Amino acid sequence: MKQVRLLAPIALCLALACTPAQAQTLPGDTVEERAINGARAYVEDHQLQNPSLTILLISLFRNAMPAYAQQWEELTGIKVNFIEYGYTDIPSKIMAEAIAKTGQYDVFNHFPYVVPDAAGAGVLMPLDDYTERGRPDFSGIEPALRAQQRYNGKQYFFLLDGDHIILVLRKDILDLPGAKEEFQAQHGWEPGCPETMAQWEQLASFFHTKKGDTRWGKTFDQDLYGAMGYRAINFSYRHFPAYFGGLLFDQDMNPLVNTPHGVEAIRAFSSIVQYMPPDIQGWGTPQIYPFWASGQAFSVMSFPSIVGYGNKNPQTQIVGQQLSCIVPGVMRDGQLVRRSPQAAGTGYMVNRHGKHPELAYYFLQWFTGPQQGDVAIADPQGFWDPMRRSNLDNPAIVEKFGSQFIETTMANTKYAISLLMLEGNYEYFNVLDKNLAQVMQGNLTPEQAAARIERGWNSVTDDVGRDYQIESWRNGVASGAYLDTFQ
Amino acid sequence: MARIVLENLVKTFGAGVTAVAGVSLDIQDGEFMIFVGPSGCGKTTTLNMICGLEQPTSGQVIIGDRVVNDLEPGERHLGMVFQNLALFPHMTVFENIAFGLRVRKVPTADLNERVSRIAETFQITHLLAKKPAQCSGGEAQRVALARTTISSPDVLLLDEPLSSLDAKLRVEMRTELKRLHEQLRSTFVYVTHDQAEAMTMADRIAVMQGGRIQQLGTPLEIYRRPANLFVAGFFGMPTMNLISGRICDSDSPRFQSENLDLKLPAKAVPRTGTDRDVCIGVRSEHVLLGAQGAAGRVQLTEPLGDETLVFFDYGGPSQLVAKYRGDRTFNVGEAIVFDFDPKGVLVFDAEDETRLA
Amino acid sequence: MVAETETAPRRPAGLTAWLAQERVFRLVPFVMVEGMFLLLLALPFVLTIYISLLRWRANRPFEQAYVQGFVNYARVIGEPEFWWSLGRTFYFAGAAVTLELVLGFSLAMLVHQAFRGRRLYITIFLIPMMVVPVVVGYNFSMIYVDSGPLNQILAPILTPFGVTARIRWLSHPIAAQWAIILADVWQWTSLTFLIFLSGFAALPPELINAARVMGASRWQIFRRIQLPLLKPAIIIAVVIRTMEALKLFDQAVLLTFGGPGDSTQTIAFFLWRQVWQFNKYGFGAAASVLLLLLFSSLIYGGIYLLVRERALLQQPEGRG
Ligand SMILES: Nc1ncnc2c1ncn2[C@@H]1O[C@H](COP(=O)(O)OP(=O)(O)OP(=O)(O)O)[C@@H](O)[C@H]1O
Ligand SMILES: [Mg+2]
Repeated sequence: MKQVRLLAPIALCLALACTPAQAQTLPGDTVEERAINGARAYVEDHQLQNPSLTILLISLFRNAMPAYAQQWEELTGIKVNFIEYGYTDIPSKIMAEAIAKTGQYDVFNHFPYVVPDAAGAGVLMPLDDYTERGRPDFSGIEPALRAQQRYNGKQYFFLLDGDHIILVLRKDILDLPGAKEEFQAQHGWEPGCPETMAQWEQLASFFHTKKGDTRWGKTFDQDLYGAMGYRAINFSYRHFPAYFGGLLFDQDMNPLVNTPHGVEAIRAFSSIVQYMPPDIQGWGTPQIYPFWASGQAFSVMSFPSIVGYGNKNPQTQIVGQQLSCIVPGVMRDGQLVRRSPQAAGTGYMVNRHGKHPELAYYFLQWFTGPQQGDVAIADPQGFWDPMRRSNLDNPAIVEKFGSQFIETTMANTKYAISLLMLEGNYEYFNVLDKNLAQVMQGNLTPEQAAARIERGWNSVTDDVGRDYQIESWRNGVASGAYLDTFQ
Repeated sequence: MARIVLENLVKTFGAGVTAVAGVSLDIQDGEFMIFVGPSGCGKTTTLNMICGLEQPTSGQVIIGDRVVNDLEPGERHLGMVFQNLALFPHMTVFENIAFGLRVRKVPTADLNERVSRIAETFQITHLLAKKPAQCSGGEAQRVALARTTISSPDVLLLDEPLSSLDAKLRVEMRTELKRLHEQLRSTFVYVTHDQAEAMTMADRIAVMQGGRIQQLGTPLEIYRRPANLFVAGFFGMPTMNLISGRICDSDSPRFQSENLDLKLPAKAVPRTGTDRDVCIGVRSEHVLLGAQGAAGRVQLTEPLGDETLVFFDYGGPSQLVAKYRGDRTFNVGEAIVFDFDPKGVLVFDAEDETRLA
Repeated sequence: MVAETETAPRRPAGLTAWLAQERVFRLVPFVMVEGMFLLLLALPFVLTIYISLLRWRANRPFEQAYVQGFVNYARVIGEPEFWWSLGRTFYFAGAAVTLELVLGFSLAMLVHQAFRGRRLYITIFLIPMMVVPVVVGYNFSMIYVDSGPLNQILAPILTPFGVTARIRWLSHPIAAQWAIILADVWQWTSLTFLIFLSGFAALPPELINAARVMGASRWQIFRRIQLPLLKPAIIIAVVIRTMEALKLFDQAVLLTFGGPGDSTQTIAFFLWRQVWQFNKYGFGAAASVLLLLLFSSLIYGGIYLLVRERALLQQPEGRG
C-alpha cells in the first residue's frame, strides 16, 4: 500500500507523459485506492495549493458527513466544505448554478431524479471519461438502482443509498392469540407479509381496531390504524408506481395510466386510505415516523429507515415488534409484479462549472466505493440505507439494521425501480399527486383522475419537447431503470 | 338655568400628583365665572370635574340642586368648548353642529331648523358644507361655539377657547363672548391664564394656584385688593412693584429696606403692620415721579403712547417701574426722585405673603 | 452660472471640463441616485419582461432559449391553476386580513384603555410578529396534527355539539386552508394591533371628550368619531397586510406544501413551483409580470385612498 502511494504519482506522470491522448487506468487495487491516487496525482499535476471541494449538501447529513470529509482531507490533503440546504431547496440551487455558472459548488448531493433537468441544463459533468480511468465498481448494485446513475447514456450520478420503499407490519399484533386463525378463516391465507396490495388492504381492514375494543384478549387503549403510507402532496408520486407495477408510458411517451389497469392502481392507492389516520394526507416523515413508533398503526409502507427509527428512537413503543416485508405487488396478466420505487435514495453529482470537476469526481468515487460506501451505510449517525449485495454480509451493517430487515430490503432491491428519469419530472409528479389527492378526497373518481393525469402528462411532454422525451424515455427503459420493458 | 356649587373638590392623579387640593366655590346662576392661574394650577382639572370628564377624588359637584358626581358628562346638560376647539375633522360644519342633536335622536326637520337658526346667529351659514380644516381660525371658533350652544345648555364651560387665536382676533372674540353670555344668560365657567381676558369678561374671578383658589372676587377687587402676593403679582401690567423690608413706627411709620427709607402716611399702614418684616406692593401708577422722596436713575423707558413706563434703579435688589404721562420724555441715566402714593401702597406679610388688612 | 460656462472654453473641452460645470456637477448626485434606482429596480424588471418573452425551461441551457413573443402570457392566462391559485390567495388574504383587522382592532381598543399590566399585554401581543416564519410553520405543523394540542383544546368546546374534535387541519381541503389562514392570523394580528394601538393613541382625546359632553354613548363615539378617524390607520393596515398576505408562501410550504391536492397552493407557491420545481422560467416570468401589474394597481389604489383620506383629515397647523 505504502509503495503504491509512493509510486503512484511517478507512474501517473510517466503515463501522462507517454500517452497523453489515451486515457489510462489509475493505479490502485481497489476503487477507493484509485480514487485517492487520482486525487493526489491531480493535485500534484496542477500544483494546487490548499485544494478544497465544496459540497451542496442535504442538511440531513450535516452530522454524519464531516467525519468523512476529514478522512478525505487526511488521505489527500483536500479540504471539504459544506453548504447545507433542505432537500426541497437543493434542486433550485442546482438550476440556479446552471445559469449563474459561479463554480461555488463542486459536488451536488441530491436524489437521482434531479439529474434529467440538471443534465439537460448542462450543469452536471458527464463522468464517463473519469470512470474509464477510475474504474468504479457497481457490480454489487441491482441493475435498476445502477441504471438511475445514468441519463441518456451518460453517467452523472453516484448512488449511495438504497432508499426504496418497503412494508413493515407489527409482529406483536399478528401474534395476538387467535388473530391469525381468525384472519385465515376469513381470508383463506395465513396473515404475514402480503403478496399483493389487495392482501395488504385485507390485513389493514382486518386489524383496524377502534379504541376501547377488546380483540384477541387485548383491550386496545388507543386506536389501531390498519395502515399508514405517504399520501401527502410531494410524496404520493414516490409510492404510486408500486401500485401501478409497470411502465407509466409506452414507447412513444403515451401515458398508460388511463387504462383499466391504471384506474385500478389509482383506486387501490386511494382505497386503503380509509384505514389510515385521518390526517394522513397532510403528513410527511416528521409526523409519520413518530406515529408509527408510538404503536398506533398495524402496518406502514415507508422509507426503509423507519425500521431503525422504530427500534432506536427513545420514545418508541415497538422495539423488536417490526416485521419488514418485501413491497407487495399487483397482478398483471396473471403474474405477480412487485415494484419498489427508489423513493429518496441520495447520491452525488459533479458541477460542470466547478474549478476542478475531475478532483470532485475522485471524492465521489472514493466515498461511494464498495468499502468506503459500506462504512457510511453502517454509520449510526447517517441516513444511508443498504443497497449493495455485500451489505448482507457486512457485520457492521447487519448490526445497525438487524438481519431480518437487511435480508428483506436486499430482497426488495431486486424489485427496486427508478422514479421517472425525464426532464420536467417534477411537473409530471405534481400532476399525479394533485389528481390522486382529488380522488382521496372524493372529488374525482379514479377514472376521471386517470384521464386528467393523462392529459396533464401529455401537456408536460409537449412543453418539454415530445421527441426529446421519447428518446430519453426509451434510453431509460433500455437501461433497466424501471425493470420493465416495452411490450 | 343653573347654579354650580363645588364642595371641597379634590383630585389626585396616581400617587403624589395633587391637581386640585380642595376647591369650594359657589357659582351663581347666569354668572360669568373665570378661573385664572398659571399653567398646571388645576384649572382644567376643576373644569373637567364640573363637566364630568374627571371623577373627583373627594368632594361634590352640585349643578342646579343635584349632586352630579355620578352623572355622565352627557347627562349634566352643559356645553363645553375646548382649548383646541375639538371640532370633528371628518364631519362637515353642519354635522359638527348637529352632532349633539343627532346623538339625542332629534328629528331631522327640527334638527335642520335649529342648525340653520344657530348658524345664522353665529354668521356661519356659508360654512355649513365645509370641513373644519377649510375654516379660518375665527370661523372655527364660531363653529365650536355654535356647536356647544345649539342644545341651549344650562352651563357653558370654556377651557382657554381663545388661546390659539392671534392677538387681534382674541380681543374681538372677547366682546363676542361677552355678548353671547348676555344673550344666553346661562352660567359661564371660563378658564384662561390671560389676566386681560379675565379682567374684561368676568363677573367674578377665581385665582388659582397649586390646586387651590387663592382669591375669589370681582375683577376690580382682585386688582385693587389682592389677597396675597401671588395674586398681586399675577394681575396688572406691568407687574406690581414689590419691595421687601420693614415697617418701623417710632413716631410716624416709615418703610425701611436696605436702600430705601420712606415715610409712609399712617393711613396706608394697617395696625398689624408695624415692627415686622413685610413686603410692600405698589402698582406703577402709584409710583410718583416728582420733587421729593428717594433718588433713582432711569434705566429703560417703554413709551405706550398716552403713557410711558419708566424703569429705574434705586439701589435695591430689583428695579422699579413707574407709569408717567406720555408727553414727558426720560433719558436713560437721568436722575429722578420718586415717592409712593399712600393710597396705593399694599402691605403683605413677609412670612405667609397674605395682605395685612 | 453664465460666468461658469464662459470660462469653461479656456480648458480643453473634455469630459472633466464638462463635468466641472456647476450646472452639470450639481446633477451628479441625482444621476447616481437615479442610476441606483434603475439598477436596483428597473433592471430586474426589464430582465423579467425579457425572460417572459422567451421560450425557456431551465432544463435546457439558456443559450438555447429564444424569443417567442407573448406565448407565455397566453399560457398563463389560459392556465386554470393560475386563476385558482390567485382566487385562493385572495380568499386567504381576505379572510386572514379581515380577521387580523378585527382582532387587532379589538385588542388595541381594549389595551388602549389604561389599566394595570397594559405594558405586559402589549409586549405579549407583539411576540408572534417577531417569530421567524419557519419557526411559526414548524410549531403550527405540530399544533395542527389531528391528535395534537389544538384539537385537544377544541374538544371540550366541540364535543357537546356532537362534533368530533378531530379536525384534519393539515389534510382536509378546507380545514387546511383555515389552518394556513389561522397561522397567518396568529402571526400578523400583532402588526395590526400595533398599527391600531398607535392609531388609538394618536386620536385627540378632546374629540372623544367633546362627544361625551354632547351626550354621545360609547357606541356612538366609537361608530361616529373613533372609527372614521381611524380610517387612515385601517387603510394602512389593510394595504400593508394585504400586500403581505398576497405573497403568502411560508405557511403554505411548511404546513401543507400546497396540499392536500392543491387546496392550499397560493399564487406565490404556484409561482415558486413553476419556476423552481418545474423550471419553467419563461412561464414564471410572464406570470410574475402579470401579478406585478395586478398587485401594484391594487396597492396604488390603496395608497390613493389613504392619501385622499389623510388630506381630508388634515388640520391646518397653528390655527388662527
Ligand atoms: N391625567 C393626568 N394624570 C396625571 N397628572 C395630571 C393629569 N391631568 C393633569 N395632571 C396634573 O395636574 C396638574 C393640574 O393640571 P391642569 O391640566 O388642571 O392644569 P391647568 O391649570 O389647566 O394648566 P394649563 O393652564 O397649562 O392648561 C398638573 O400638574 C398636571 O400635570
Ligand atoms: Mg388647562
